[in-house]
Amino acid sequence: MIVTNTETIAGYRIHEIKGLVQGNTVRAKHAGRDIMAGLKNLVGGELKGYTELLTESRRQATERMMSQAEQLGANAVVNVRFTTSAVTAGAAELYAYGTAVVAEPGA
Amino acid sequence: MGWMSKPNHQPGIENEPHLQGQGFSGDPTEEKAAQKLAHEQSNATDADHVEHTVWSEPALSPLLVGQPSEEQLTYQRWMASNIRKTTWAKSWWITLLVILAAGPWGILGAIASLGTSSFAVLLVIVIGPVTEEVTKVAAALWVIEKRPFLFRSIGQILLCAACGGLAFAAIENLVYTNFYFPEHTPEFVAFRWTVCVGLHVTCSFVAGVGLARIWDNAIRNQHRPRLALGVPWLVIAMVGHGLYNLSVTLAQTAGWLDLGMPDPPG
Repeated sequence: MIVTNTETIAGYRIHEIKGLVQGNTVRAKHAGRDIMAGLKNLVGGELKGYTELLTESRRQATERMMSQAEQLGANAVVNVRFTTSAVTAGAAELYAYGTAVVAEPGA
Repeated sequence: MGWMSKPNHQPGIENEPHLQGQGFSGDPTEEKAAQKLAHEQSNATDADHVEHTVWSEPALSPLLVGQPSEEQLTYQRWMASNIRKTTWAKSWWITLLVILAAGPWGILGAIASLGTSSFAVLLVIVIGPVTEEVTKVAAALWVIEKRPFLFRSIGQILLCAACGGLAFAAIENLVYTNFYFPEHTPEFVAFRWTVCVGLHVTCSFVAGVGLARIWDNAIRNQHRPRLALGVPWLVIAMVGHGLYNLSVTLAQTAGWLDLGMPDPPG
């Protein structure tokens, strides 16, 4: 599946628009990783536990968005956007959305 | 400069990463995240998938996408399939578990509400009733919201609510008579085991009517439960409980109700 944050796909023609597709997630690390991140915060550097958390959340939100596009029979999602929310502390909250389309090769 | 090497703090624009012209290493968390999500995905059930099905999206246009094909998972199909699979025996086991959970869960809610306000009157008349009425039926509400097909009749829901109120009242009475007021009078014990039990059972039953409305609407129409349908009944239970607490507090203060000891109501 083609996933792009542009409105068009170079070398493809948008043949059919299926509609808005979206995926979201709110994830947290276990308390042990939170404690370790708190300790790492004292000395600085990358908080790897939280980098993992954000990566997992971004991927999961994207996968859920792509799953919705698949359900609609689309082969591409264009104009993809990511956004975050702030429901609870210590969690990564990701929301991905875009337009599911059927794209065919050709200008 | 590699991705993990020490950053160059020289202010010149030529030191910006994208102008360095050297290779960059990828995010090492990507692979780990992919493995973790794949593992979660392999354990996911239809109940997980139906939470994110596109066919429940309000923005979906039938003009553009038509109707879901036979093999597509929709909330309606998931519900119908699970209604067929749920036996009466399983349903009654769930009912029993919900009843057993309701009392202790309500007590936890009551304990959690204790530190929310330094104004005793506010705690007794507003915060206490609101928290207790929600937590007494919280277990049943969770089942209705997430797995409505596990209940098979309105009677089971009302039973859960009333028995939850009874269990809550019984635990609360044991706490009051054994820990808060070990030196209690017989009048106090009689009051707690009659009036207070009646109050909790009645209020929980009223809240249960709201839960039954949510469940009945969801099962009949096979759509996601609409919690707003139960809110008026939950509010009636909260207000009734609060008014009872207010009247008992006033009666004790005015000397119209004498149990031989200071008795926090409800």
